[in-house]
Amino acid sequence: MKLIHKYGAPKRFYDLAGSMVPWLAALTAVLMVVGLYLGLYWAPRDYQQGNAYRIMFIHVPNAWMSMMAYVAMAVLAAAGYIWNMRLADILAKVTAPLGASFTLTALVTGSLWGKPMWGTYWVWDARLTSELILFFLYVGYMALQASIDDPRRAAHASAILAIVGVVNIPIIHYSVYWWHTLHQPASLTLTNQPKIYITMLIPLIMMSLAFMFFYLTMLCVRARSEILWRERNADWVRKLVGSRT
Amino acid sequence: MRKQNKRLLFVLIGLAGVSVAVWLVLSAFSHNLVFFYSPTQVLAGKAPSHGVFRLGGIVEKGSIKKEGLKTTFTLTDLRHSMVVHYKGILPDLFRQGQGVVVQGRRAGTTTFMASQVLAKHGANYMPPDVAAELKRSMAAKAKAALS
Amino acid sequence: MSLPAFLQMGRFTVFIWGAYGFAAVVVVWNIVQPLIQKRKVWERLRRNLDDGEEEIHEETE
Repeated sequence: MKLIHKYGAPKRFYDLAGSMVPWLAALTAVLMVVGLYLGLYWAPRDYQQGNAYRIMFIHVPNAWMSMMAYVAMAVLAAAGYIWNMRLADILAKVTAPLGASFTLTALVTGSLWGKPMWGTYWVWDARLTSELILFFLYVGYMALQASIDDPRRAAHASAILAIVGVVNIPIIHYSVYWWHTLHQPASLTLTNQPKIYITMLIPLIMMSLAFMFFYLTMLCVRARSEILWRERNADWVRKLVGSRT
Repeated sequence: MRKQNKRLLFVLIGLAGVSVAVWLVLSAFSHNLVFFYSPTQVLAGKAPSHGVFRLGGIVEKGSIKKEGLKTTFTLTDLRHSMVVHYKGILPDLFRQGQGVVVQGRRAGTTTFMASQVLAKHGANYMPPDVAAELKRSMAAKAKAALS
Repeated sequence: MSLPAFLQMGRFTVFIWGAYGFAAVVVVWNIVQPLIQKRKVWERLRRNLDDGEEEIHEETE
């Protein structure tokens, strides 16, 4: 029974993810197209920022996903480390490049938004600096993974980094409240009325869902390749490869 | 103790330790993490007495005076205010009633020579007609409250 | 609104399309890179399988 738990999980995930990828990809594409149409065309101009605020529709979803992916990565890495769950190790590892991409996009689009609105591409305020640290955490995690050949040891060493780095997440979130920053506080919170007019809020939510499903889609695609490679000596992989040659 | 429980405990204690350490560092360096000081803080002597620092607040209504590239305006945190002198191009969002952060040196008790002006923008987003409507209804409310 | 008018977002055109363009490049890279990776893994797995079978042949000969 324990053997099934330990060795069955990656294969089951491989099959499940394989059947889900087309649906997730289709959903992502629809949300992305509709979100872009609404955000770039349907939504009205902002009373202060004119059209420049439309950068929000990619900046904010990427910033959110950069943090969510990090939390997911840290939790998965911790689960892999504590309970020796190989699937969790794999999912944590393939989350890193996606999370790093979200962080980089959030930083670059934020910079391109900052120049016309704030008057500068970059400032070292607490919000921007902590988001930059998040990017380095992702890069450090990937470098550590790449530097150790044995997958189990690589997973354990990098798990420690991922878990320690999770303290940066509340710092990013609360930086705009704890310290004076140039970056404005959140427009959307769980407790307060949204500060975004409804016709601007709908595209923002659409784009956020689009990037979330994009993450899930690519997580499945990346995890499947990683599973195949790690299980290359398992019977089910040999059979699968044999049947497709 | 099972191996798994031991590892779980190790992770939790480690995370708690790191959090405490980070919290201590952040509170120790808190004044360095402040991106700008308010006029009240500056007048209370909490900002560096000489050297470059940043000052933040709201541009007081009707205080902007422009003369070519030179701009003079009053920066307020609604309790205290300072007069800012600046020469250069202003960001797009610079206007009266807007939050701005200026970098430069103090030139007197309540005067500041800025070398850079950055505009803060609010967390509110709405179309122009809604903003105009909101302004009208706010003005009407204020009028009703006065009469 | 016509297409040129849509593409012309006032004074901020460069920044808006620059931001969307950068995001598009990152998204496309995030699609292409895993697919290349997938193909590579399959190629190596097939090669492994062929090598493995040859070894067996040699042993039986």
